[in-house]
Amino acid sequence: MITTQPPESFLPLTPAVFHILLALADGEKHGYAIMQEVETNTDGLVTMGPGTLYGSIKRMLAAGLVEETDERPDPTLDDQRRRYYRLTGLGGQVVEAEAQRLAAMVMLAKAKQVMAFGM
Amino acid sequence: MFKITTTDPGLVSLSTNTYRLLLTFYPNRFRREYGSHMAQVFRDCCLHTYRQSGPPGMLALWALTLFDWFKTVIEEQFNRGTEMTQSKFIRLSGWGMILGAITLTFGFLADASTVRTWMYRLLGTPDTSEGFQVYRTVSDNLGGWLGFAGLLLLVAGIAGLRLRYGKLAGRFGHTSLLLSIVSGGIAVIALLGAYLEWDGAWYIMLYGMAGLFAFLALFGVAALRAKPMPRWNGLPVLAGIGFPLFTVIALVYRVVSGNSLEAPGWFQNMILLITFAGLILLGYVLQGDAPQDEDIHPLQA
Repeated sequence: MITTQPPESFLPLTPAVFHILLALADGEKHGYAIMQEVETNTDGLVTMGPGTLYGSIKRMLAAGLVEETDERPDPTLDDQRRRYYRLTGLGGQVVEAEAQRLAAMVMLAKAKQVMAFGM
Repeated sequence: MFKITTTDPGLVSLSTNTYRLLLTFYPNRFRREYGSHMAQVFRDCCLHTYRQSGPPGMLALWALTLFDWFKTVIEEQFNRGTEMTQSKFIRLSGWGMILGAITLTFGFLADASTVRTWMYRLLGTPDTSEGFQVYRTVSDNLGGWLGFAGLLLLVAGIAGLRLRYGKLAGRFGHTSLLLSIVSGGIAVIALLGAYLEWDGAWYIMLYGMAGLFAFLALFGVAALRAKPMPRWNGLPVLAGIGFPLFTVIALVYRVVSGNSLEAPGWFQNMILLITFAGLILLGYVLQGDAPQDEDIHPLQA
């Protein structure tokens, strides 16, 4: 079911959902590419298995944050059986809202001088 | 369906086949939808790890994958169970509201002065007669038990209404339905208290009922704005307005005149009929609008 909830109502996101949305922020990707991107973006700190990946994707599809796409970047180079996902407008708003929320928390941590760097 | 290619190393093929077996533990619907893609992603992971780290890397991959499998199998099975339970509860609560309206109406009628008069005429005997005394004993007890059962069913119906439409109606509507349930719960307890002859229990029951219907009507105001129901969004106001309106009129009359209000029978019956019709139709809408494919698992951390 596609919801029409405001982006803030989805916050805070689980780490898996946030990283998947971030991975899709610069273009559509298939499941394995999302996993690789998350691992690269976090220097291997966040690794998700296929269950977490597709469980999250299922919920994000239901919430209208991502959608499947039939387009292929290059059909000759890719397996036609793969499913590609991309952000929806709402998904973009939600990842932006979550990033702003996290940035505000970092600012607060800096103000309280609990961070080792960046004082 | 995904198939293993013959060029995969033996350890990768074995791992992928084993993982495909593990996929059978997921709910059927989830497996049908995502199973082949999960197996394909796992195979990609195996190939990448095997090329980079060989068999020791595969061991580490399996440790991570088994943890992920165990956690998400529980999540998806629980999710399926909760989804079914919620859907079933909403459907049943719709029927509960219909049955509650009927039961409550019979409860009122069993005790109503109009019906007593009809029975008196029907039996054709003075109120000291044996026939009338039997009727009176039955109606006194039946009215109470029907009222108790009807109130319980109505509270369950409103709980289903809140689960289905509460959030869609906004914070005001959501909170109104919570207060309606709380008021209904107080009325149920007070009705039991009245039978145990607690002081003031009867009045607490009446005000609890007035609260139940008043907050249902307030939810109706929110529903008229947000339109959370597929149709007939005015029903909660229709079902909820009569009883509290009557209570307020009676209270004002009592304060102004110092006497109890003796409302005409037709007025009481009209309010009963409007409330009855509103609840029946509301229950009908609710039982027919239980979510089928809605994913209720939260995205939030």
